Amino acid sequence: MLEISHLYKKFGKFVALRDMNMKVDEGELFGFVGSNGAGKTTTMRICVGLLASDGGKVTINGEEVLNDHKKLASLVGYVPDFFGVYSNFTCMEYLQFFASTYGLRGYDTDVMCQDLLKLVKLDHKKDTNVNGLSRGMKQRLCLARGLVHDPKILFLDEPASGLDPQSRFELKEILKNLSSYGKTIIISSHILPELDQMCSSVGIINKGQVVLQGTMDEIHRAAAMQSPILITVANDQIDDAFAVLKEFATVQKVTARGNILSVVFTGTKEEESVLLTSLVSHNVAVLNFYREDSSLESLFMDIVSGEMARKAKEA
Amino acid sequence: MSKFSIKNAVLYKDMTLDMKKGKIFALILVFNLLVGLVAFTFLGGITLGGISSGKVSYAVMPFMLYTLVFLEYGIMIMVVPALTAGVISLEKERQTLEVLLTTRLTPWEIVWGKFWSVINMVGLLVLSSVPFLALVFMYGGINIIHLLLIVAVFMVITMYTAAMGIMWSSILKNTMGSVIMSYITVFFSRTVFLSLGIGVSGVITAIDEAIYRNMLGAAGYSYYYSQTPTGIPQYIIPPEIGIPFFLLAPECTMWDVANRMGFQIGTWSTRGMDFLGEIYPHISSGKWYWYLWTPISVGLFLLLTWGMLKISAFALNPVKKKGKKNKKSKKSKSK
Repeated sequence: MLEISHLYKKFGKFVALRDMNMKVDEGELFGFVGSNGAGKTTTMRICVGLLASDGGKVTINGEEVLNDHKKLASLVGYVPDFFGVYSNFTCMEYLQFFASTYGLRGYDTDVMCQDLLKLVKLDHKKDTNVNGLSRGMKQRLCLARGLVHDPKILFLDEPASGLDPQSRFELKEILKNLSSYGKTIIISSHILPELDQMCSSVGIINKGQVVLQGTMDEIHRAAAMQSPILITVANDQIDDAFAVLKEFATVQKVTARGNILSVVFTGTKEEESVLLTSLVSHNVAVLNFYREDSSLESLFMDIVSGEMARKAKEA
Repeated sequence: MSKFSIKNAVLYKDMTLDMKKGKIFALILVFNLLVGLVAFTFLGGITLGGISSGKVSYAVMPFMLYTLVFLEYGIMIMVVPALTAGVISLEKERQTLEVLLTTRLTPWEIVWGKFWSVINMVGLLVLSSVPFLALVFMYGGINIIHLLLIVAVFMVITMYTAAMGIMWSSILKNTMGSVIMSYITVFFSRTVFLSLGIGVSGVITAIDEAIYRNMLGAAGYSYYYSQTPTGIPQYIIPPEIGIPFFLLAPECTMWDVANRMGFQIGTWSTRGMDFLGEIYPHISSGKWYWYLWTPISVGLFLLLTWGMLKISAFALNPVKKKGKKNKKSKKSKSK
């Protein structure tokens, strides 16, 4: 569906994107995660034609679209991190106007606008001036605007920023709903637990490069791999356990706190089970064997703090 | 049928938004109060004069027309920059421009829509004042074609003025800066070409006269009006060099179209911009090209309007540098 290859963007001497690669499949609800200045908004703005890239290409359904404004505009919808509303219009007029910018007019368009208002739960505000809407409602109206031409891909840049918990929840439900219809949605957000709950796949961007990308399961597995395995053994068998663990190349580091061994293990789940079996077969009494719970947030922090640690070392 | 049936969505949006604001109604009211006051004062004077003298001169009616046309022209100079300077910068300030640029609308379509929304508004102002302008028909001396021509040229100059405001509105990020630059440009364009025309023509006259006086002594001056032995007047510097500057002065075009079919001024036998021949002895009146003054000038204004709108669209294009940079990077790669 969307493929970004070797994308570059510089602002003066600052390199915002460097050889950035990313792929989003059709129907995915893709979370785009990164710290401030990592390049999320720059990537989105290039993808929707608001910014020129300094190299690389963006393809949608295999077609390079950045040089064809009309085609790009009809394929993507964009909801920026600001509202951009005309306060003198009613909600219905606002949607009708944006539909008309795509050449959509007439009775069918009016019906479609009403359906969109219903989808974003603003059908009761159809004739209300945009000025009279709450922040959350305005954000939902902007979401409807992004959908007015039925784009293949919808880009949402920090849509939940500044919204109260209820509005965020409502927005999340709408996005889940949209995703269930098969719409491809790319959403950038700082609220990682929410992305964790609703996205089907995630890309983590750091310093202008996607450092990790995959489905939510893959990301969780990757996150889990970042956490050490905690093995509780009998007090008199700590040395035996150390001896067994040293035999595994995938064991990077072992530290002991009492009879709890913290093992940095880079193997797969299957290799993890081999490790446990080996301990047991060497007559080590394993009282407990588990990985610490991990989340998108912890993985993200690990990536960012790893980068920070690397910087500190270099300094 | 949908409400948004005008092809250019931006044009329709602006027209409906402005109508909702009521700004246009206030503008029409004030504009017509001013035009009406002047028209009825003029007419009252003519009528009272007619009562006391028993006759009304046809010659007075064109003067009334000139007064009303130049009054509208003056108001337009004040109003159009204010109407145009914010049309795009306000979109930038309320962050709707970026959203518009992600739609199927091209920067040119956005600029074109904004441009015509202002022209429609000014057209509405002019149209609303037609009853006052039509008072000039009361005693005869003016025909409707003449009036329509004047209105048409007036609208072209309005377009030229509006394009200046839209250009600054597109280039600058804030409305205040755009308003200031629009007024400066409009007033500059109204004075600089007129001044250059007067200055250049004056200097050429002075130089030519000095040269001829030097050559022919006291006979030099009268030589301007005589002919050389070959039968053709000869000047060291062509006296027509100053004319193009006048062509770019909108006041001259307004005067030309208003006076071309109008009334004789004082002892001048000329019409329209032919009067330059009355002022500068080197410039000949009555030549064929004087009759093309308004068409040429209008053509130039339309060309400049087009150019400024193109600059506006270029300024709005968010990916304008892409082509150049890609070419550069391709070149560097091939090296």
